[in-house]
Formats: sequence, structure tokens, C-alpha cells
Amino acid sequence: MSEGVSQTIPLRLRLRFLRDRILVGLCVVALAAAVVPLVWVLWDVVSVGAAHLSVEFLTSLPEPPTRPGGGWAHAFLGSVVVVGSAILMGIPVGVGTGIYMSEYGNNLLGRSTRFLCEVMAGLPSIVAGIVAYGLIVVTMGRFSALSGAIALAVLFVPIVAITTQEALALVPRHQREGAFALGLGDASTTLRVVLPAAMGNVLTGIMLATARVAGETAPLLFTAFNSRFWMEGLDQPTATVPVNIYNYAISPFDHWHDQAWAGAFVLVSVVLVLNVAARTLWARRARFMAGG
Amino acid sequence: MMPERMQTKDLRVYFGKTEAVKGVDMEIRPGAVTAIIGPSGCGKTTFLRSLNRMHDNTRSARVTGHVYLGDRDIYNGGMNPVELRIRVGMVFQRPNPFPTMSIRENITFAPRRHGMRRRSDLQDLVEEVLRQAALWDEVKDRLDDPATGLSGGQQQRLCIARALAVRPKVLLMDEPASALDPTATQRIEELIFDLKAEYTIAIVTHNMQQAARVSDYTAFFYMGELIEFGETDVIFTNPKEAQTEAYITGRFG
Ligand SMILES: Nc1ncnc2c1ncn2[C@@H]1O[C@H](COP(=O)(O)OP(=O)(O)O)[C@@H](O)[C@H]1O
Ligand SMILES: [Mg+2]
Repeated sequence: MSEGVSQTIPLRLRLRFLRDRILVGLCVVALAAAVVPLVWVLWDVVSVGAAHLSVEFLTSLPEPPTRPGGGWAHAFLGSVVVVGSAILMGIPVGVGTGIYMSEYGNNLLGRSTRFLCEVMAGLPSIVAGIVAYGLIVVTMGRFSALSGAIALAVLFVPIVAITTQEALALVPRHQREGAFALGLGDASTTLRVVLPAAMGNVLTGIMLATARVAGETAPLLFTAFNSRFWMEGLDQPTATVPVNIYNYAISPFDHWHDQAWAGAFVLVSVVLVLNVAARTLWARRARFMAGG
Repeated sequence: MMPERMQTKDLRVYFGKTEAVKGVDMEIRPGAVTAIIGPSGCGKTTFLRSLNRMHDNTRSARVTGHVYLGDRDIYNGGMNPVELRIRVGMVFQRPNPFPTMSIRENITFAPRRHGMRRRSDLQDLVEEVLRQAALWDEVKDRLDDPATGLSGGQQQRLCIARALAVRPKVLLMDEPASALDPTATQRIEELIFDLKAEYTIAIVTHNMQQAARVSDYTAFFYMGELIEFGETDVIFTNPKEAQTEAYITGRFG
């Protein structure tokens, strides 16, 4: 039976099937080349990192390298403060810029801002560090959590501005017209009709941008710098998780390497949770919009 | 509260270089329903939207000539669009309740922005306009549910209630029933009939039976021009213009 069928398929067609198969095969190989190392790295971080995770690591200060134990509590706090300050500064600026570009930006200023945001979103992160170093560190005469936060905010703002603009652009025009027709001005329409309708996607953008900057190391190396103690203020240097990973990983001590793995595990977990949460929210929102 | 008269003089609307409304002189009489009919693309929506300056937000659009509300020129008389749109409300072709708001909030949103703050006043207003829109009995037990949970016909009546809540003098309706089923359409038509004592109503429709049923006056548009205007009975039984007759007898459009 199957022989009978294959005899009726002309050679040309069978060659085409073969070509299709080869193409699909090549795609699978490419996919594997991309995914396998990624899964491998993740697996390493999770298995090695989780093995060295402990309550002490999460809650205590570091010991000198000659002694075992100790933890990164100061770096976790430092990261929360630096990233937290960055997003507190960055959200109003980023969302505001996005609102401008979407609602009032159909002009030269709006288009130039959008272009600038795209350029800045592709900025090598170390450049953000140099900017904050030049503006804050040199002026203040010392490293500080604040300068680190500003460096991260420089990376955070363009991402949020772009995602906000795109979120607002998805709100149908008839929603805005419904508000205008009731005698509502631009401000009420934007803040109480358009922004709430886009809120899910705006939040998604904020979460993705947070996940992106939370793992940045280069901009913090010469801004927030480092410390072995609890942070003493925004104007003082502070340890952060990514910089600690870097320092511990290149140290000559084996138990410090273990701690670098544990720190990486914590960081990757937080970033992963933020990403999954953001994408779930996005998917729910998309369904809501499609369902009307 | 007296309904107000609207009038246009040599009204022209351009999108870029194309002229979509070509010098229309027309009256929209107070306390009556005026139907605007004509084939698709003849400028009905464009005309209607020029009556509450909806084109202000369209970059390519340009409006010339005069539109009067009472005796004030809404384009050149120092009236701002916000003030105008409180007096001239609009209901759109597709129901567009605010999706993030409840049924109640959809109604109270604009009045609150315009300064109505007392809870009891707002509560009374919600009931009053929902009754006027013949929706009260269907939603009175779920005023705080999302407006998007309503059926299409209910959403459209909510949009009418929402428009009435700012106490307009004139209500503009752009094919308000075209997205609805026959039962919902009939309810909207009854509603229009009830509202005309208190409001000046202009309704765009491509459904001639509907125009004949609900309106007192009918305007026939063709290719951006007002071809004929008159009492609905006369337009439908004894039109003066050959084009009008051809359209209402279904010979084109
Ligand atoms: N925003 C716009 N930009 C450009 N052209 C438009 C716009 N709105 C309407 N038009 C044009 O104006 C003419 C009249 O359209 P419209 O008023 O919507 O017709 P109707 O409501 O009678 O079907 C059409 O040719 C349409 O293509
Ligand atoms: Mg139309």
C-alpha cells in the first residue's frame, strides 16, 4: 500500500520533501546550539548555587577570607536599595516620557525622544557607569549607593519609556474619543482612561526593566563600588550582589567561589521570578484585550 | 432645561486635500430628532463629528465655515472644546464604555471631573440616567461590576446614559445601533423616541426604516453634499430631488 503511494509521488516532489526535512533539521540544530548552553549555565547555577545557600549566607555579614562561613546580607540590602532607588527615580521619568511620546509626541521632539530612547536602550551598560561616575562620584568625591542608582536609572528609563509608549499605543482610539466626547481634557483622559487601560503592559515593562538592571555589574563597579559592612547611607559606597559575585568569583579562595555561586543563584532566581511574573501578566492582559 | 438648536453655514471639512463635507448649510432643530442618511462614505460621520469638534484631535483634518450652538459660533466664538462637548454629547458607532471602570464609574466619571462631588447627588444621577436609558432594571443590582460584562446593547445604552450624565443639550449619535441585534436596536430606537422631548438629537443611520421610524427631519447626504433636507414624512413619500428618490427606493447606495 505505502509502496503504491510512493510510486505515485513524482521525484521532484520527493526532493522538495527532503529539502524541507533538511531545513527543519538545521533549525533544530541551531536551536540546540542556542538553548543547550543556556540550560547548562542555568543548571550549574541552580545545582551548585543551591547547594551552598544557607540561612547564614542570607542573613550575616562576611567573614575575613581566612575564616569559613559569613554571608552577603549587606549586599542583598545594598542591591535592594540601589535597584529600588533606581526604579523609584526611573518610573516617573520613564513612564512620563512614554506618555509624552505616545499622547503628545507626534512631532519632532517626540520622534527625537523616541530615537534617543532606542539609542540609550542599546547603550553598553558600562557607559551608564561612566556617566554616573563623571556626574556624581567625581563631584561628591566618593563612591556612593546614589551614584550606582543613577547609573542603573540611566539604563532603566529608556526601556520603560519605550514599553510605556507601546502599551499606551495599544489602547484603542475610541477609548480616548469616548472621554473627549464627555468634555474631559487631555490630562483626565490620559491619566484616568488611557493609562489605566494600559496599566498591565506598563507594569510588565517596569518589571522587565527591573530584571534587566538588577543583574548589571559594570555600571556599579566604579559607582556604588563595594563594602564589607552594612550600608551607612545613600551617599556611602555599598556592596551589591552582582559586584560581589564578580569579586568573589575572581578571588583565590574556594569557599568564596562557593558563595559567588550561591549569590548568583539568588540573583538568577529573582530575575527569573520577575520575568515570569511580567510575562504572565502580559499574557493575561493580551487575552483581556482580545476578549474585549 | 431647554434643548438647543444647532446650525451650520457653509461647513466644509478637509482631510489633507480631499474635501469630505462640501459646504453644508443645515439646521438641527431643538427638541426633535434629525436623521442623517446617505450611502457609505458620503460624509455623514465627518459632518456629525464637526458638530462637537471631534476633528480637533485629527491632525490631517481642517474645518471651515460656521457651526452655531444657539447663537454662538463653536469654532470662532471663543468657545473651548471642553465647554462645547459638555453641551453637545456623542454616542459612537461601536459601544465604548471605559473597560477599567464599573458601570457606576462609567457614569460618574465625567460629572465628578466637572465638579459634582456629593455622594448622594452622584447616586441620584446614576439612577436617573440609567432609568432614562432604560437600563436601570437590568443593572441596578450590579452597578459595581465591570462595564465590559454587559451585552453589546446594554453597553450602548450605558454609553447613552454616560452621555446624558453631563446634561447635554444636544446628543449626536453615529449609527448607534449598527453593531447591535434587532432586539437591542429596537430598544435604542424607543429610547431615542423618549429622549427627544428633552434633547436635540442628530442620528446618523444607513438604515432607512430606522430613519423613518425615529426621526422628525431627515437630511440626505451624497458625496459630501447635503442634497435634501425636510420633514421625514415628506422626504420618504415625496422627495424633491431625483437622487434622494433613487436612494430611498434602493436604486443605489
Ligand atoms: N480621518 C480621516 N482621514 C482621511 N479621510 C477620512 C477620514 N475620515 C473620513 N475620511 C473620508 O471622508 C469621507 C467621508 O467619510 P465618512 O464621514 O466616514 O462617511 P460615512 O460616515 O458617510 O460613511 C470618506 O471618503 C472617508 O474616506
Ligand atoms: Mg460613518
